[in-house]
Amino acid sequence: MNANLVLPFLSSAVMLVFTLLVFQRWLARRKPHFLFWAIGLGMFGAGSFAEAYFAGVGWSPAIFFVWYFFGAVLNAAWIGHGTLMLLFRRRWTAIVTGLLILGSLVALFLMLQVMPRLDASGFTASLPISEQYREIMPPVSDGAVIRLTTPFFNIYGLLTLVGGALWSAWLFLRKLVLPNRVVGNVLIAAGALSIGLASTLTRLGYGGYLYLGELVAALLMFAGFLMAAAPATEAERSEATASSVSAAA
Amino acid sequence: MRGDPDRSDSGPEAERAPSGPSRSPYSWLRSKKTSGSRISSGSPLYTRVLPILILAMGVLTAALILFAAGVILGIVPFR
Repeated sequence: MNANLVLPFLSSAVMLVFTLLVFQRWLARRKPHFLFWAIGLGMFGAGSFAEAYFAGVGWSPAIFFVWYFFGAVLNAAWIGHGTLMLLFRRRWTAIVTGLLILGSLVALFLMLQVMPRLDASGFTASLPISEQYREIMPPVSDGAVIRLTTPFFNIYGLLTLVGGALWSAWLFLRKLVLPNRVVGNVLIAAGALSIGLASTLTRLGYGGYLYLGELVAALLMFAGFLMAAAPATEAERSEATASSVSAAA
Repeated sequence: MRGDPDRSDSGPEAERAPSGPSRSPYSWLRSKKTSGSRISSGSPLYTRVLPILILAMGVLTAALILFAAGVILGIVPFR
């Protein structure tokens, strides 16, 4: 069994279902946080699919674009921005949305700039792309400025996604209400942290853990979302709302 | 990915939910010490394990952010 094919394929399958579910929520409710989550989760799934493609089919510059641009640069920030939109419904979030879109467009420009300079002569399908991309992309000093943008997007994504989930879990825990949302948010935070850790290891030169980290992240975040979004009974909802109101008063 | 419990984002199925007595699919999470949507203050999972876990994940998040900031500032070598 080829783990470099199976792990990302499973991740992309989980993320496809997850993305469709969240997108369906957006279609039904038109709340912007669902849209940002769906876009970010779709990017995550696209990145995982690209990894499976490299292992199963081979090199493709277009697939590398998908892997790096959506999978490495943007997805965490877009998912995290959805959480920001949920937690803060104020005017300044529109400014942050504008900055995110502008930053993504700048990143797109930088990514397109580096595409003709990729060197895939040493590519091998038996190794994860996360262990080869440094040799494929030119160094920052040679024009691959896009590589400098990843920490900015990922800091924002980690702070908003993990921070938002932990903050929500803590609020429910403090009020002693809705245990499913406490556990759901903790699972989401754990999933996001697992991909954050795997990405950090990749940055340190241990790219072999990335695919496993992605699968763990996909499963934990999906399970967390299902759990946190589980419909409560009427009695539970009234009880939680009442205690939430009294806790805020 | 959930915030305020007052916000109803639980999906269309919630709107279709019967108004009579029903069980949440995650009711198994509630120990005998919890009742409905309330968490009992005596439940070790919710009063000890999860707060420690949340704190630990917060610390880990801060460490990862510092690492990424170190990459941006050039303290951590860029590979």
